[in-house]
Amino acid sequence: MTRRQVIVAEDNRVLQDVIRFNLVRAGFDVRTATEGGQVLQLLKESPADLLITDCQMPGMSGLELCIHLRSHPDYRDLPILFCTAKGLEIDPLTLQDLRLPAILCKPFSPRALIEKAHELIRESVVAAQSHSN
Amino acid sequence: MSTATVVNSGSPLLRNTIALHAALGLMSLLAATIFVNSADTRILWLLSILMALVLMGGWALQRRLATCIEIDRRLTFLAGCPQVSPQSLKHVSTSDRAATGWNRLVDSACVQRLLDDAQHLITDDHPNDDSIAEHVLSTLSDGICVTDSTGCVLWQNGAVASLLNLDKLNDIDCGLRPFHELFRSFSNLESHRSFLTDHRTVAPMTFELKRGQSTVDGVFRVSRQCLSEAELTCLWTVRDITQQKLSLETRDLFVTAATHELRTPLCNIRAYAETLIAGGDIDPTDERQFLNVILSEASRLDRIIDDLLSISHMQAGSMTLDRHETQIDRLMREVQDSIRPLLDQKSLEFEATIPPRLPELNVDKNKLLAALVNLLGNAIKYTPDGGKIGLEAEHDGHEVRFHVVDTGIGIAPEEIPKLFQRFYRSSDPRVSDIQGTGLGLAFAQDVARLHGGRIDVASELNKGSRFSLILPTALAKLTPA
Repeated sequence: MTRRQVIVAEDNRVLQDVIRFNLVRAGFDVRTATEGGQVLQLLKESPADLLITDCQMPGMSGLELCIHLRSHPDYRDLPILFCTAKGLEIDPLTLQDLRLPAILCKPFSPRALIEKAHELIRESVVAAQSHSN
Repeated sequence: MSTATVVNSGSPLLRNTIALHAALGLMSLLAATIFVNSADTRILWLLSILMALVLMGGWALQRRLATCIEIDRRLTFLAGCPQVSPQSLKHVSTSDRAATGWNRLVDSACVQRLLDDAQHLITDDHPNDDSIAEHVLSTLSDGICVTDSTGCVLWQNGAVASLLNLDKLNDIDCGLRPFHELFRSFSNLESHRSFLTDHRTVAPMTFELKRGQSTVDGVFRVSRQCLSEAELTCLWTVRDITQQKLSLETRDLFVTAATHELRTPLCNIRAYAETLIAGGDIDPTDERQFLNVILSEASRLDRIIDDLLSISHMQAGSMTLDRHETQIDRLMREVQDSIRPLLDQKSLEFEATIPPRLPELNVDKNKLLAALVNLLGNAIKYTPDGGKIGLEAEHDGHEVRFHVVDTGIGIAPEEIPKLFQRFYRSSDPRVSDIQGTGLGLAFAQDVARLHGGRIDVASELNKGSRFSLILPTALAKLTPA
């Protein structure tokens, strides 16, 4: 079975390491970035099945990255797991407009992260199948 | 006669009295002269008694008229004065009813004069109620305006012009102008125009108007209170709340920055701890590394709490030093250990240069360590990946210098003098994108100053910065060679 491709955008390298560790252990192929611009570069190099991105990052922030991706025909349906800090939540209408159903508030549990990642990929596959049918 | 010797004035009443007494005296003398030669001794006695009666009557009349004569004398004197004042009114010395009445009249005039004088004094020192109110309103720092039913300004105090930077000639003295016109250059006038121009609503209202896009340009709280529902006149107050708003913004920024600083290590600790608890096939090397991360992140939390406490002391102006003899090379190694988690988050080259024979210093080790970690933390934060960070120490006969050098974004020359101001954060977007309290450098400088030292800054935009924490060697005990 093909391993699912995940891009993790997180500027806190200590956290990025543990996210990568847990995702790899859960069977994902992981590439990492520390800001939105790097994610776009990684996506250009090869597609991904899921993007996990932090909201606050230097350079292109997570929110700017999502806005950019949703306006791009190749990435408009890319599943995105959006992480933000407790107390700095994004307006629900903005999230709805960007079709960001899954939000993870920091500090989060790696188990919850893996569960959300599986759930988003599953939904994406179902949506793609129903679209092709 | 006796009456004439008492009275020496020329008043008519007096003259009549003297004339009457003189006539009676002359008549008595004439009668005595006629009858002495022709009449017997009985007639002589009768005449003597008559004369005595006339003299007694004259004495009684003079007693009776004395008060009137004296009052008459005073009135005659007053008639000759160009201006009558209570000082020119004198009591009469007699004690009959007329005298009592006169004296009361004089007293009453004097009291009235005293009352008038007192009133005059009071009026001079304290203006009447209207001018007191006007004086108070003119010295208020809040702007006060009264508008009519059409929203035009009927009256305003001086603070309105100074608060809103109105040109006195062009903006104020051009007759009645609508109140909202005073705010015509304000950035958010349009969103409040309906409130400012609604002259029919009598309910009180309050809103905030901003002069420019930024709070520092000026923010004003405008309140309206209806003075007369019938005439629809309104009282407006304009209060400058710029400092209050800036203070709130600063506090919010600080709380956001502090919670972010606390959240980051907490988030890391939770993620690593849960990963370890989940167990499974974790390599022992990874396991050990994870435990080390938890430990270092816990230390980071500890340090942040220390920083927050130091900031709290610094804010209260109560920061003190707990000095001990401290080996500088050991201190520098502790600094490196402390910044390791920060360095690990980025791809930076770090080099520490610790020369041999550094002196021992009598310093507050924890605060000096925190100050150096702050300087290094800034260097790490504001140096892009691939850059270099250096920590160097040197000493001569006078000073021990710690240099924190980076190849980061640098600081604009005009911002360097502001760097050490509390809560100051650079307007460079590369700085504002990164969380910070704006207190780290202020803290480091306070620590340096408390030790009798200073912090020097050299920086070039887009090239890098060099912060030097310099302490006098008076604190030092040179180690033997």
